[in-house]
Amino acid sequence: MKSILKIQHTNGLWLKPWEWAAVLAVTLIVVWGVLPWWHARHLKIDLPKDFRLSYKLRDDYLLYKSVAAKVVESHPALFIGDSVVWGMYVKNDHTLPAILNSKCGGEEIGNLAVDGLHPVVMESLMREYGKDICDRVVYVYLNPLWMTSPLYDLSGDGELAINHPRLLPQFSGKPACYHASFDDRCKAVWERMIDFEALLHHVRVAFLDNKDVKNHLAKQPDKPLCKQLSLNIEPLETGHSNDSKITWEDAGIAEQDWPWVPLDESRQWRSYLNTLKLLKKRGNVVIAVVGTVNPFMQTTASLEKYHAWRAEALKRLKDDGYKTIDLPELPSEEYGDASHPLAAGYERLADFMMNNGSLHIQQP
Amino acid sequence: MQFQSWTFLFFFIPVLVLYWAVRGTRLRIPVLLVASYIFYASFNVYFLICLGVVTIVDYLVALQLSRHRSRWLVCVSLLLDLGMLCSFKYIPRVTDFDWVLPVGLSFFTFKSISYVIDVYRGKIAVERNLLSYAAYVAFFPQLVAGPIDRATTLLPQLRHNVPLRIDDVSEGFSLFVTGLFKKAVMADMLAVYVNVMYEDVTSYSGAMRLLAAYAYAWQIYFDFSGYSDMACGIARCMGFRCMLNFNNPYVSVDVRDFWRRWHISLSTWFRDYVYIPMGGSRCGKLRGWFNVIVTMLVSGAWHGATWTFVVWGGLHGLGSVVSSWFDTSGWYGKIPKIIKQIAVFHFMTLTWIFFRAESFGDAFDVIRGIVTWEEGDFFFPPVPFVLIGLVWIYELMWDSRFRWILETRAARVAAAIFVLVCVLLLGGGANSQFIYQQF
Repeated sequence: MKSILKIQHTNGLWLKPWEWAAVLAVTLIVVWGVLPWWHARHLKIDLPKDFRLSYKLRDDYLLYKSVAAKVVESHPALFIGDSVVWGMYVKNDHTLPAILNSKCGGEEIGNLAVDGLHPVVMESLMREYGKDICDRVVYVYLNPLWMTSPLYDLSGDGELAINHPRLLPQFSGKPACYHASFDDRCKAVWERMIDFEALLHHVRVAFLDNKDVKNHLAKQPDKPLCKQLSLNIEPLETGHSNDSKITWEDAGIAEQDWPWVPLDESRQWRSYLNTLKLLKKRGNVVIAVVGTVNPFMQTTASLEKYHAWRAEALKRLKDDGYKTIDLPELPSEEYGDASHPLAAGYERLADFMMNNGSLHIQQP
Repeated sequence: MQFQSWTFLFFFIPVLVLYWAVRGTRLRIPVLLVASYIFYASFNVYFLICLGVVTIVDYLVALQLSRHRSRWLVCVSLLLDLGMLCSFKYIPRVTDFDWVLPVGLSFFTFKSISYVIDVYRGKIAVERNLLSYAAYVAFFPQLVAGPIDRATTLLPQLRHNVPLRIDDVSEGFSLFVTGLFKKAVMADMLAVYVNVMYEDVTSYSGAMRLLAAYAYAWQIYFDFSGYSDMACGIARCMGFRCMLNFNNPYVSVDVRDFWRRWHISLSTWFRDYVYIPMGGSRCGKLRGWFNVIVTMLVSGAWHGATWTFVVWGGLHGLGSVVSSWFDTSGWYGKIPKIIKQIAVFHFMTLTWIFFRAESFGDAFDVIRGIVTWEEGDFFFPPVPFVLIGLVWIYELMWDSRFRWILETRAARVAAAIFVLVCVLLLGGGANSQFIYQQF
């Protein structure tokens, strides 16, 4: 047995238990703790007029955290929502917050919307990365489109490419239609726990064309890593500057017959309420902005259910004590698809908010 | 379930805790066996059938051999093990019939074959406890890609309650971290560069083909030795000592020396169960050389049913013969060691071209491009090659009289920090499969 227990070493990486403990402690404190802290402290974020988060960086949640902190410093009010608020078919100066700002005559409302941010992931985003959003007026947009069917509502099973999967509940409460591997789900949880992992993701999406550092080093020697990285971030969207004039009819979108998920069974609705509660708990004045879904592309049966559903949602929000904004339906030619307005539609929505006295900028 | 995955972490930690809890009791082997079967079933539950058949048949054959020493019984075992191995490896190659090769089939059949032959030769006492034998064959750290530890070393550790110390965990951790660095940082990074070139060989210049050939030589080393290190580290955390499988092979001074340092568990297996039974070097020089070449050809064919692997094996066979011929000449000994080391590395790099290429055409395209220094696309990523340089210098120092420098506490701690930082910064991304799992 003695000869068996003898082992040969082919390198010198043999440390005693206490040596490993010290090495691990120092390395992990520096890499996991000091590095993200230093990055957050030195990150310079420029927030130009009519800023909105870059489409490319839409799943860079660490950046979102830093931008949110910066926006909170300089804006008394914020708008949170999905691509309807972000402005899918419009230029930076034609998003709903941008038009409201121009009508108010200042940079009062910060656009913190993210493309694809359905309520389930909005709740996680606010919980994990929106901790700095305190003591402000917060408009939280509800896009009913997420509740048109059990699959989009994430309460049904099936195949669906879910937006922002890393923000979904990964284990307890995981949606049945979310089929990521165990490893990917662990990585998502790990990223939320360790800012350093989120920092690596930030580096990947912000500077390395979505390649990891290893891939970049092996494939892009003409772009040295040290020259790629930067502490100056301009989160303004630059690559999405076309004002689309194509209406939903021009795009050839067919009429839809949606089942609509009852509020009591809706997962997205539950998460939306949780988000409102969370933001309110952080000292914000929360205003629920209930959006519309293109009524012209729905069958009569679907439209009836939709109207009943929407009325019920508004009633429940009011019953829960939230201020609400019941956005009006737009003319057919102002919808780009099922829920996104075109530029004229945003103008109309902004006018509505300005004129009916529902816009609040400062906390009472 | 790859070692570098979260899934494995969530599997291994409970297994480790449970194993530590029951280590002094009769439950030790059942816990290990169940864990090994769960680990193997995670790849595909049907693979357990092959594992079970090999285990039970060889266990019964060995029991019978202990009562009645019969060559026929050994043949039955060999027929089953090699028949299963060849069927899975070669039938899809020569027929339209396709099936999935059970992961690690070669590795556990080789372990089982060595046990039966050693019992037949009287080198080892028969294992009467089926559970212990099954745990030996299915020992999860080694199940998928070795090391192919012999029954003579692993079975005694299973029979006796090996003492478990906190130092075992730290040493196991050292091995695991080293392996993780080799695989998740070095091998996976080099794979990116190598794959780019091999996907479209003719587009790239001779210089790039040469660099990719160098990169592959290191990629396969880091990939496979990384696996072995992780496997040994995992076993070590449970108190088991595995055999050394890689001993800085790129500091070898001749081809035979290389095979004493590369995949040691397989090369010694082929030596003991193929080369020596053929007569080894006992039947004269020419016959000995012939035996070496045949053994290496078999080793090549074992890697896969393509002629590129056979050529790879043949080149190694020829290289070994030439090495032993050099040994008999006086002039080879006078060449400085570093020159020999560089020459051997280049020979290995040449053979790896055949190992990596999808076809002879690709392999010759790579070689032709290098020899004629063809024009074409070129890029050189400095970081991976700087890291290779650092590792090579480290290994050359380890093999020299300056080894003491690397053994000082400052050097060990610095190396550990460097490796950990690299793993944290570069070790993420998809968990790619180990190259040798396909064999």
